[in-house]
Amino acid sequence: MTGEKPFRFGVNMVVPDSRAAWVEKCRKVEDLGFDVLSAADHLGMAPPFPALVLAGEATERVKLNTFVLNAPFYNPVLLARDVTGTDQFTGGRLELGLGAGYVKAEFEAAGLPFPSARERVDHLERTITELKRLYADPEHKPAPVRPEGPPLLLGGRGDRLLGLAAEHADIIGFTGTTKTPDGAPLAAAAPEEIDERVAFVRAKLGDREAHVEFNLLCQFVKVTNDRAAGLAEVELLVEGRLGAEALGELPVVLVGTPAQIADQIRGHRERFGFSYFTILEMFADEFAPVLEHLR
Amino acid sequence: MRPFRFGVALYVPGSRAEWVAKCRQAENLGYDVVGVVDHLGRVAPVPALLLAAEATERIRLNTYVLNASFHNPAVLARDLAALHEFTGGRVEIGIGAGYVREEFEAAGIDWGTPGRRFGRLVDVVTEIEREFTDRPRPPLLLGGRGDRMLTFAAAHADTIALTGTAPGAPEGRLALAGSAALAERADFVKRVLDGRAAELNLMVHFVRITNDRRVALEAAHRLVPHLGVEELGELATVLVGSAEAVAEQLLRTRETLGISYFTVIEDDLTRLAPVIEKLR
Repeated sequence: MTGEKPFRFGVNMVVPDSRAAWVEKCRKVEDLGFDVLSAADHLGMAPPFPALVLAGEATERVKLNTFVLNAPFYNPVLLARDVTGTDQFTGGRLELGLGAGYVKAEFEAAGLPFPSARERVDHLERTITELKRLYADPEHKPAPVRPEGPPLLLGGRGDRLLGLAAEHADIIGFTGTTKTPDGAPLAAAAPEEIDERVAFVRAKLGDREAHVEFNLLCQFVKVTNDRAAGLAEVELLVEGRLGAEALGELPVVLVGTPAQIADQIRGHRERFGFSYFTILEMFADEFAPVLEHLR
Repeated sequence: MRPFRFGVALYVPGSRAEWVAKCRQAENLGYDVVGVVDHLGRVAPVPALLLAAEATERIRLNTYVLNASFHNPAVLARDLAALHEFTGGRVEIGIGAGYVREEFEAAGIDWGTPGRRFGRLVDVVTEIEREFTDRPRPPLLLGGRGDRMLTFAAAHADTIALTGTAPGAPEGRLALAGSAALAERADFVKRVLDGRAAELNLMVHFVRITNDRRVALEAAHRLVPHLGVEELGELATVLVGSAEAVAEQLLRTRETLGISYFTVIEDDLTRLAPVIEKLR
């Protein structure tokens, strides 16, 4: 069923400090034809809710997504007010992405203890439960635009997080990363590992799968007539941990002509069920011709 | 003597269109500042001020006031810095220590002691001062009633906001301070300012522009039964009378208490407009 889901394409943005620069970037992403504009949540960067309200004012149709909110930064009840407030102010264009938090240094900067992975997921679960309870409460103001609240994206890799996503999310964000020690840099997962994660989620989803979108964050895009040279470039970036051929198989790495990349993306939808792809802002221009092949 | 400034504290949440219309109305009515409260069930302050800036041209934007206990200092400082940048420096940061116990409980935040809540406010102000060490900080408004709070405000704030309230009102009644108590607080602020220049703000709790002053004061008295009609008629937080009379009253308040910046609540948004016009 997931193979038939319509494609969506999002851009994960770097939010600058200046209003003018941000407005221009947002308009450009919409003009290039993307469906979703995402803002991350890190200390030292502009915060997602005001950035998305401004993005909403600057654009007409793109969906506006927190990708992803660092749940431990927020009290769930106060977060609900920001979520439904932003949902109202953007006319229901908000898609709420929540994560358990992973950057240890930011917890330190926020004066918060860095909880264990288990505790972070516990907090995320409480946050989800609390948000859903408040959406459903007719007394809660601001009210969400839709009674069920904005679409919920949950992203992650571990069993518990994906289990939560299977239970609660409208969009499940796969990271395409492999297991690394907590707090260590991310590393790409082999396609077989992703198959396993997808199978894990599908087993949990059961019939709900028809109503859930699978998202993938793509780390690298290179539009080129020389795919081999493009992959060699990626090989340097990953410092030889994977050969060019293996890299070419990774769904988080999109290299080739627009038509080749479009084929890769169709293949990833077929194999993994990913229909919603998020790319990094630095690749947005380059990726735009690919969109035309997939509409 | 400082020039007058007039603010309105908006609190009713709603759609984008409603919010935009309200902010534009405040600007068109001549207000200097559009503020947002920080309470559960009300508008989300940071998104609301961003949208207010987009919807208006010149009016300044303030949090009136943030509950320090509701926010992680580092996350809040980031939010306010972004708001400052995105609005072209139109933001004024207002912070208080929080006073509605039920909201703390609903959010699962420890109510603690007044000392603990004051400590959280100090943490938030310290973090904001740190955030802006390398560039001009937006004006800071600190509001409260107690000696400790007002002393801290006198040392740190550009604007010191008097709540105009008194401790211990009966449930559901407006706990307004009487004239003497309000004057005492304004004097206290002047004393702890010790010559430092700061703007004084006052929350105005009741506005009725009317030629039938007696009827309106009796209505105020029903809300504030512990103060008599005569005293309410003199009180700076209760503005009742013709536009001319209220304008005269504000001039007197500025003269006697040194308060030049007045903030009304959303319900009184249109009521104060003719008075603002007279004082320009």
